[in-house]
Amino acid sequence: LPFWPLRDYMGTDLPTANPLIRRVTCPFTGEELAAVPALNPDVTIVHAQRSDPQGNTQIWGLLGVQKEAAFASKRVIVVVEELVDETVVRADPNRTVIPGMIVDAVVVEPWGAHPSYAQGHYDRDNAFYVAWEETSRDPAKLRTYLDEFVYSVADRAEYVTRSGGLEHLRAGERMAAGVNYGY
Amino acid sequence: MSSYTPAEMMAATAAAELRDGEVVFVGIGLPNLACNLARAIHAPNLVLIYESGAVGAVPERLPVSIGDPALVTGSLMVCSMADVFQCFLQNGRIEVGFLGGAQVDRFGNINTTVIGSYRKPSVRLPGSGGAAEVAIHARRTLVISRLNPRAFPAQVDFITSPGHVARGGSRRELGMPGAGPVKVITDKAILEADPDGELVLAALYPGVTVDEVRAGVGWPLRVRAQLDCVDPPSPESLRLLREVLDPDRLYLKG
Repeated sequence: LPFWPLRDYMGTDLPTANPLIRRVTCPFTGEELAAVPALNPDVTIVHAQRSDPQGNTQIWGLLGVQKEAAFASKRVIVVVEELVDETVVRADPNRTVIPGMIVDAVVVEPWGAHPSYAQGHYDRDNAFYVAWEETSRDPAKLRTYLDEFVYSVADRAEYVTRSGGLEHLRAGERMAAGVNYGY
Repeated sequence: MSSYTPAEMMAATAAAELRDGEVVFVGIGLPNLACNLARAIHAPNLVLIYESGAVGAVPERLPVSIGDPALVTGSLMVCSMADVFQCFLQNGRIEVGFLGGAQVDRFGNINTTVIGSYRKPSVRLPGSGGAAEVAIHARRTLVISRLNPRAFPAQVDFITSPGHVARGGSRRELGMPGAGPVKVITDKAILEADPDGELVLAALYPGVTVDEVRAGVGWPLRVRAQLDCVDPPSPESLRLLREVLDPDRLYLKG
C-alpha cells in the first residue's frame, strides 16, 4: 500500500519538521489521522537463525520489522546462522517469517550479527556496545577500528578470530518443547 | 538511616507509582530499574512490555538495550514492532508509560529531537523513537528527569512528546486518548499536573527545600498548599537495586 494511517503526532512539532507526515480523513468515521508513505527498499538484508536453501527463513525471539522490511523490498538477502533442510522448516511452519519466494540470496554466516545477538545462538555483546560509545566519538579511534575490523578482514571468520574469539557469548540452553502439528 | 543516591531515590519513587497487574511500557535505564524493582517488591504481576516486542517480560539481567535477547526468554509473548504500536499502544492497552528526555517544560511537553532550531540545531538529540506514541496513547505517563533549568525550560525548543497543553491545544481538544504526564519524578521532588495542565510541586524528598526545587526549573514553579514528603528507599529496595538489578551501577551512578 502507498501509505499507512496512524493515530499519531497530534500536539507535536514532528509534522512541521517532517513533510512526509501528512493527514488523511477516515472515509467511514471522518476522523483525521496521520499518514506516512511506504518505505520500499531496493535491498533488504535480514539476519536470522536459520533457513533452507530456498530461503524459507525462520526467526524466533525479537522480530523487529524483519518481515515487513523483506516484503516491502525489491530484493532480499537473508543471512543465517545455520542452513537447514526444507524438512526442518516444514516441521515448524509457524516459525517461518520470510518465505523463500521473496528471497534472492541466502548467506550462511555464523556470528553474522555480532556485536548484536542471535537468540539461541549467541548473546548481545554489551561490553562491545559500551566501549563503542567511546570509539565512535573519536574519529581517529573510529578510523583505527574500521581499518582493523572492517576494511582489512578477509571474511567474517577472520573478524571473529581478530575479535579475540566470541565463545564467551555462546547462548545457554533454554529449549522449548516442540508442538504437535498433527491433525 | 542508610544513605542513597538521587538515582536510587528516583528508581524507588518511580517503582512505588506502579500497581500490581498494571501493563507498563518499559524504557531502558531508570524506568527499567523501577519496573523490575516494583515487580520484585510489591507488584509481581506487573506486565512489562518493551518496545522491541517482548510482552510480559521477566528479564533475568539488566537489559542495556530494548534489543536484548534476555527480554525474550520467559516472556508471555513476543510480537513484531508493528504490533507493539498498533495492537498495544494505539489500541489503548498500555496503562503506564515512562518517558524521559533532554527537556521537559511547564506543561509536560518533552523534547528529544533538537536543542535550538530544527533547521540549524545546536544539538541533535536521538529523536522520538516510540516516545511520541507513548505520550499520546498510554493511559498515563510518568516522566523521570533530573532537575536543572536547562532540562526544565518554560517551553521546550521542540515538542517531540506532547504533555497537557501542546501545539494547538489541550489533550482533549487534540484527541489524545491518554491522560498524559501525571507525575514527573525528579532527583529532588515530584511534580504533578494541575487541572490546567501545568506542572506544580507536589511532594518533596527528605531534606530538600522548596527553593532548591524552584531553582531547578525555568518557570515560576507553583507549589501545592499541602506538600507531601516522599519516603526514602527501603533497605530492601536499595539491596535489590545495588546487588541484583544494577550491580555495575550502569544507571545508578550519580
